[in-house]
Amino acid sequence: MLQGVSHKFRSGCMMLARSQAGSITFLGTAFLVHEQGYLLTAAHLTAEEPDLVVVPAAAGDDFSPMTFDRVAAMPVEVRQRDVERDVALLRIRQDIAISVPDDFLGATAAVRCGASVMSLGYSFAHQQVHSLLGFNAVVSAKIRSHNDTALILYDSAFHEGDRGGPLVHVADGHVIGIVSGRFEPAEIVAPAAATAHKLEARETNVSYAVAIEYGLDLMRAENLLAEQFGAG
Amino acid sequence: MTTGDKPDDNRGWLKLDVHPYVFFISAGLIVLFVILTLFFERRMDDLFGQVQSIVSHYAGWFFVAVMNIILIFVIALLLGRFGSIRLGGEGAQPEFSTGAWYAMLFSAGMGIGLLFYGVAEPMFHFIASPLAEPGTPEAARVAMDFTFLHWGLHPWALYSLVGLALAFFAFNRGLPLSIRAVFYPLFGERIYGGIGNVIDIMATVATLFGVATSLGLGVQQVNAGLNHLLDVPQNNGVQLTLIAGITALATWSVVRGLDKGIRVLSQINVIIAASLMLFVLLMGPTLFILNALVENVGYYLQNFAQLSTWNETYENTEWQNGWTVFYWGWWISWSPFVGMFIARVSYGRTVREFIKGVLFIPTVVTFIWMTTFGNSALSIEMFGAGGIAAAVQENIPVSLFVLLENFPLDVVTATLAVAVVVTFFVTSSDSGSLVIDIITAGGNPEPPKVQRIFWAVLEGAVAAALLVGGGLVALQTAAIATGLPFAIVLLGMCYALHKGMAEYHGGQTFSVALEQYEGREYRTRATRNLPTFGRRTFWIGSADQARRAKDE
Repeated sequence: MLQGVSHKFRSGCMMLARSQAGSITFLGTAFLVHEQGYLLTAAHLTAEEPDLVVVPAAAGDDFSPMTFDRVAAMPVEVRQRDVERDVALLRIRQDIAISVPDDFLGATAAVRCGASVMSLGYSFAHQQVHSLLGFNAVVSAKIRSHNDTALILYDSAFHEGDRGGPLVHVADGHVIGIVSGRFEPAEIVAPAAATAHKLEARETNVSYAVAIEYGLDLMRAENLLAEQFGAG
Repeated sequence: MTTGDKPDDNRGWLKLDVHPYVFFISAGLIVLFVILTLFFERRMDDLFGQVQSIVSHYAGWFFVAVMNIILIFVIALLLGRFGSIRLGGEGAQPEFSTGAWYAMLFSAGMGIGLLFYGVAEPMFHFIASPLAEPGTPEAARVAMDFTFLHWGLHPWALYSLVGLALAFFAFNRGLPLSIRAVFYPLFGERIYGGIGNVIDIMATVATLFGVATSLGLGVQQVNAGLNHLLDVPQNNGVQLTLIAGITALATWSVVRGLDKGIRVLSQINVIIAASLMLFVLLMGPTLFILNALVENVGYYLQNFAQLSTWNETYENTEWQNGWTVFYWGWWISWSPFVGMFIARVSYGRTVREFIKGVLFIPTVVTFIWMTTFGNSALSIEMFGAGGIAAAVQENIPVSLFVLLENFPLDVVTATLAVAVVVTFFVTSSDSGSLVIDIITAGGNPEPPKVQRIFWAVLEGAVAAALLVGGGLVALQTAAIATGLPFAIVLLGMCYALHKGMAEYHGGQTFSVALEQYEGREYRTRATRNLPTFGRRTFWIGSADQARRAKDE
């Protein structure tokens, strides 16, 4: 099952980077959602809207070099952005033939706590490891944050490069979330409790992803989805 | 992403929307058939008989094999890993409540045939049993078993296959609602070319003859009823007039856009049919029927493998040609029609729900129907006044009315029975022409009405031609002869559906044609300082603040 998910999504995941004078700085992960070259990622990666590019990577299961000195990158533009929910919809500014599976977008309603999920991301690309890594986890909880955003907590350690990658429901191979960050209880109380006792940051191994529905809303705004889709 | 793409719907402005090859070749073949029949009236009669015996003699085993393969395939789908696929994609919502859905499934499948054969078939097998001494209790048991075989799991497995394939490729893969679309996994884009045309032409011709066979049976039934009630003579002249009249009624309903009215009518019809059954159940030998229902089901299950693969190999008889092979051919030629209907009402169901609903619910209802009518007749024949067997041998369609004569209010019930058949006739003609119209319009689900009228009239013409050219034998021949090529299509359909679902369920991947890409190359570098990102706001504020913000 996990193998199937990895196989299905690997070639849809790309490195998101900022280009500057002939070199690129890695930002995080983005994944394809439409054959017209649309990708979803985390909004906070695109905050500065600089010269964004995406870099597709080797998709196969062969051993591949861990570092590429030079990569071919495709320019992308930000089409939709929802900072509150931390999702952004990008589009590749380039004509290139892309195909996507018929069935890969999911609904968080179908996911129950304890369900097996897989996250994919270029975890260590900041450190020049240009490989896509897959992680196995279960849904630890489904929560609503203070700003009323539906979040999925899952129990795998978070690495900086994972941001913006897909969280996939293993049972049906559907994307159900967009990876956002490490779940830090300290971060939650810190602003409210500045005057009270100060909690130390704990390096939890729980991560969180925002619900895919926020991404689907952006796709709907670009008329990429039929009406009935995602009604559940 | 196919779920997002809807075809441009500007074509409605045109008066006609036909697929040039499929429409004209199918229509041409069918018109040619009608003309030949009218021209060679007498000789066509012999020809039909010969075609029937040749096809069923040499290809009978093939029909039997195909029906069993389909049943096994459908049960494998029910139990297998594709059961959770939802028609229309994750998040699709069913259009109809489950109860309404069951009712529609059942009314689509059989209609006229239930009234035509409900009494006649068990009676026939009882007095001319291929596997038991005629007239004995064993013959009665075998008679009901054969009836269950012909009307049970096999036809509904067939409808499940066609309906599921049409729904899956239309709703989940975004292909046109057409038989050719099912073959996308095998032929790719070539389905829009010659191969697809051939498949759609076969489907069109099979559907038209399947519907025409039903109409032919229906009109004989109506004629027998009128004869019974009003002493109208039973002959071709009256039947042709009836076909013309009822076809005109169906055409009129299409012209006036009475689709909604027709739908209501067909629902009322199901209620009348159900009341008729309840009436027979209560007024007839109720205890005998209830006993029989339980026993028939057990006997059916007990002998399932043997009877469903029986080919009269060692008996060396030709009994099956007029029965099992005819039914299999009829159901097969009827399957694009029922399949299309079932597909249209099943949006939002999972594969597992779909198969449970289409395979088991209508089968159970049919068993109850067949036991009520068949065993009432058997009871009268075995323990009562008798006389039904003789009537059946003389004239099949009259058997229902002879049965009703044994109960009170037989004028009322016979009138209701005729009304039910006429309504089934109009709705079958109406929806049959819609299905053919969709296929010959290249999968456009809302084809122009002019074309529908054309097909409705043509169905009437074919039914008339078949009656003129040889009555029941001609009807049976039409079903078998057009069912045979379509049986081959169905085998391909099993393979294509499995392949399509396997791809859908995880074999498909993302792909980017990087070899096309000649973009700029960049140097990569390690990130010295992790970029500071825009502030994430999930955690800002407290639960109280969030509540307040929400209330505002």
